[in-house]
Amino acid sequence: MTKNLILLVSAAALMTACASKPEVVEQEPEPVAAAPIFTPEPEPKPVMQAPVQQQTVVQAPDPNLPVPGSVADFIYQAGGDARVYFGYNQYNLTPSAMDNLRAQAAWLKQYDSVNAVIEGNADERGTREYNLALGARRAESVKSFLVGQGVASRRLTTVSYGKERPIDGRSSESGWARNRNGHTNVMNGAVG
Amino acid sequence: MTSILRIFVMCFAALAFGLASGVVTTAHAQLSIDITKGNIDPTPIAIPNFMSTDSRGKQIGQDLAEVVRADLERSGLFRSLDPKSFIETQSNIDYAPTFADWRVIKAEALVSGRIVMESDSRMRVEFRLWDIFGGEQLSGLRLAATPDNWRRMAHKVSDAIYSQLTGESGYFDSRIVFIDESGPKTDRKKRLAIMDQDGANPQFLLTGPSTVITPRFSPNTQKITYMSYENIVPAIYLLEIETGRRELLGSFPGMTFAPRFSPDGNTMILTLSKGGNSDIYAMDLRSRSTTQLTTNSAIDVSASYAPDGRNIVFNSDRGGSPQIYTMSSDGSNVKRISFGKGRYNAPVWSPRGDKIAFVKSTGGKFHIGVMNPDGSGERLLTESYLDEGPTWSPNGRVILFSRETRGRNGKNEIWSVDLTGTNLRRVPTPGSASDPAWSPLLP
Amino acid sequence: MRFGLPISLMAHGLVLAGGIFMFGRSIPTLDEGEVVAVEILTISEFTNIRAAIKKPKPEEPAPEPEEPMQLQTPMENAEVESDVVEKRQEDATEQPPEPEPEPEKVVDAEEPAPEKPKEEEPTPPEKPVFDLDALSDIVNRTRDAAPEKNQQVALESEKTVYEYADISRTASGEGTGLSVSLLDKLQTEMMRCWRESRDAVDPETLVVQFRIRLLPDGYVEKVDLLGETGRGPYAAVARQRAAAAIKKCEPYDFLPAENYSSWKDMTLSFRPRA
Repeated sequence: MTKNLILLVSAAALMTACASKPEVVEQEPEPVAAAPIFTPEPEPKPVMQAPVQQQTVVQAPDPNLPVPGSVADFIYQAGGDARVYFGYNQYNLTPSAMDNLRAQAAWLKQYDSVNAVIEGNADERGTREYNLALGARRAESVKSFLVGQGVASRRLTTVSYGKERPIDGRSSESGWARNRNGHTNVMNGAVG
Repeated sequence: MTSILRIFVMCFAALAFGLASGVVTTAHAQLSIDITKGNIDPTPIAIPNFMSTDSRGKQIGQDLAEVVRADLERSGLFRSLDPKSFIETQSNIDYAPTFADWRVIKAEALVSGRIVMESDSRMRVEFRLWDIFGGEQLSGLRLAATPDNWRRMAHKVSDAIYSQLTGESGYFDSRIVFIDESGPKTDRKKRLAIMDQDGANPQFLLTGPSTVITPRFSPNTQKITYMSYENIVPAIYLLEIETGRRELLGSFPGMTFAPRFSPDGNTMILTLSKGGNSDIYAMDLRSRSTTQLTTNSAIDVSASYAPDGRNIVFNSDRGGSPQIYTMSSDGSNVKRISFGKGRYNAPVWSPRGDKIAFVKSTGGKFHIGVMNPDGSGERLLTESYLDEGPTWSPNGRVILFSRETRGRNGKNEIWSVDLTGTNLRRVPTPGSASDPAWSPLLP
Repeated sequence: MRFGLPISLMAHGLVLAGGIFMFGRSIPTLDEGEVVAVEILTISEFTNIRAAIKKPKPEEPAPEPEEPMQLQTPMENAEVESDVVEKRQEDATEQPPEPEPEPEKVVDAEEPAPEKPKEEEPTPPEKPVFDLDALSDIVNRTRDAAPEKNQQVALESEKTVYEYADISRTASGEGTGLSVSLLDKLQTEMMRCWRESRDAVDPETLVVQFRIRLLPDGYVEKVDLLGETGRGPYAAVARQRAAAAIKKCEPYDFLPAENYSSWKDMTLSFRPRA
């Protein structure tokens, strides 16, 4: 019964997330190794194709789904992307950003031993220090919303990377749009 | 009565006569002319290899002269004449040169130098600077050091020549700290590095893998401050160059960044981000006590002291968009000074006190510019896809900045431009580089 | 009341007599030949442009190269005694604004004089063009709504000959200035020779004044520093650059030999701009 509910909820969430995902034309393969410990790259998104295949609710456990409570599960529950995106020089949350964060909050409330670092990012069209401050505002926007949804504040640390950690190297509107984001970085999953 | 009257009338008439005939003059000389138009051509200067009776000294004399020629030429104010064109070869710098020989090749100044090897570990550099038109010596200098320090001697010679011929203090015996960059934009390695002002002797200062940005020199040239991501919450560090000793600057309830030393070296001005709000704080480096200088909910960042330490220029969007403001060093008296169309960031006060450098972005382009401390006289010096991070030379004449090109494989480079907008040129670095910061003149 | 007028006249007379004494001493001797009959040329710090009347006969320049030579004889006689010159000039002043035979010749000869002889020979019709270029901005500055009226004024204060130019212009300042093309030539040469301190702090405060005395061949005989307004290292550099400029522009052989006594002793004020 609960399993069906979870599948239903996740299918619904996946569909809404699909509708609001920013357009991805080209994508850099996400580098995995050689990064400092405190900035683990987001795990590869294994569930991008999943929504297409999982329209029907299936009763049997699906080995493709991430282990509940894992970091991959968090991302999956958030719609496959633990990032929310901002307009140029903006730090207010769009409705789709809020939807994403609501899903994040739900997961975080469920696995309440897990802490997260919220990273604010900016695109390259600004000076280094001002963009650090802008990223800090964005991280705080995300945190405030999650706290408003009931996640305990002490579990969330905010950090700004300014323009130092772009996820898209293109100097185009699409590239810049992807780089203006707030990323909820769940460091470790809950056990089980 | 009438006769007196007649005399007076005649005197009057005579004077009128004199005036009328234009005999009256107003100056010592007859013709007085105002010259109001000159040129700003580079001064042609002849710098023969420094002479020496010692073979090692001869080699040093050649290398040293080469560095001096390059320094002066790079400043854009001098044109170093090709030594192959020299007519006279002096044998002794203690005698006046044959000025006519140098006038013929259009030299306006001549540097005659020599190297004396006092011992294997001690060397003397001596030179005279001659004014070819006036036919006289303008200055002379003697320096002593170990032979290995010949590059610094060369830069000190350049500074002395530059200073004598322009009236300004030089900037050649100085260093530049910067961030060496490698890798694609989405996985960039950023490491702290340092080099001589002319690009020689580049070396890394830290060995860790963490990302380091925005390094700045202390006024005593021995310490650097920078922001590092080695901990979860990025913070400001101090590094002693000679010993390599590092120190975390205080512990703050949030992220700290954008550090700068005060001109007397006793205070660090920085930005603290708490709850998403960035404000400017001053920290006394001796007592480690901090004072909050801005209390606005806007972004307040990138503070920089005036050379007299009494005023601060900073970047704020309290007016709705990023602009430049000044305030007293205690945070009072805030005044907006940028008013043009566009966004203003990264203000830096010149060590000469007369200008503030900044970054302006408008219409998708970035510019390095300068303005007076009251906001007047705004002048844009460069333009490109992304120019930022200006830093001043010790004499307030030259600005270094980062220039990044577009695209996935965009590269960062350090460029320099003169305060007047001329002499734009690239500074050679081992690889990609950004965030340059200029040291004061080395003692 | 009885004594009011004489006392006043006496006071005025003392002042005037004193003035004559002082001023009388600085009468220069017009000993070199070739000086065309103009009074001592003074270019003050203010604009000083002589009024001019439109040249009546542009064709005349053709025979002119000879004229300065012819004029030497009568002029030499005239120059021996300064009051004879004054008298001539006084006569000229009282004439109505029509060219007199003598002043006319003098003036016509004076027109080509400032330019080098070789410039005149090939194309006399070109000469007006040259003048036009050189004088255009002066004209723009000094032309008035009522040139004729100002010309009257100029005539009263202006004591001597009339200068001819392609376009009439009003006098400006003392109205005794040297031909502008000569000034321009000197300015142009100095632009090549003088390195300005454009990027010093407050360059307008770095004014340097030299008195230079030139030999007839244009070489420098003597240079004296008259003064400077700046202080500190920038000022020393500004002084050195002005001195170098004077040397670098040597020889000043572009200045016409016929006017030697005008330019043999000059004060040059070097004024850097921001």
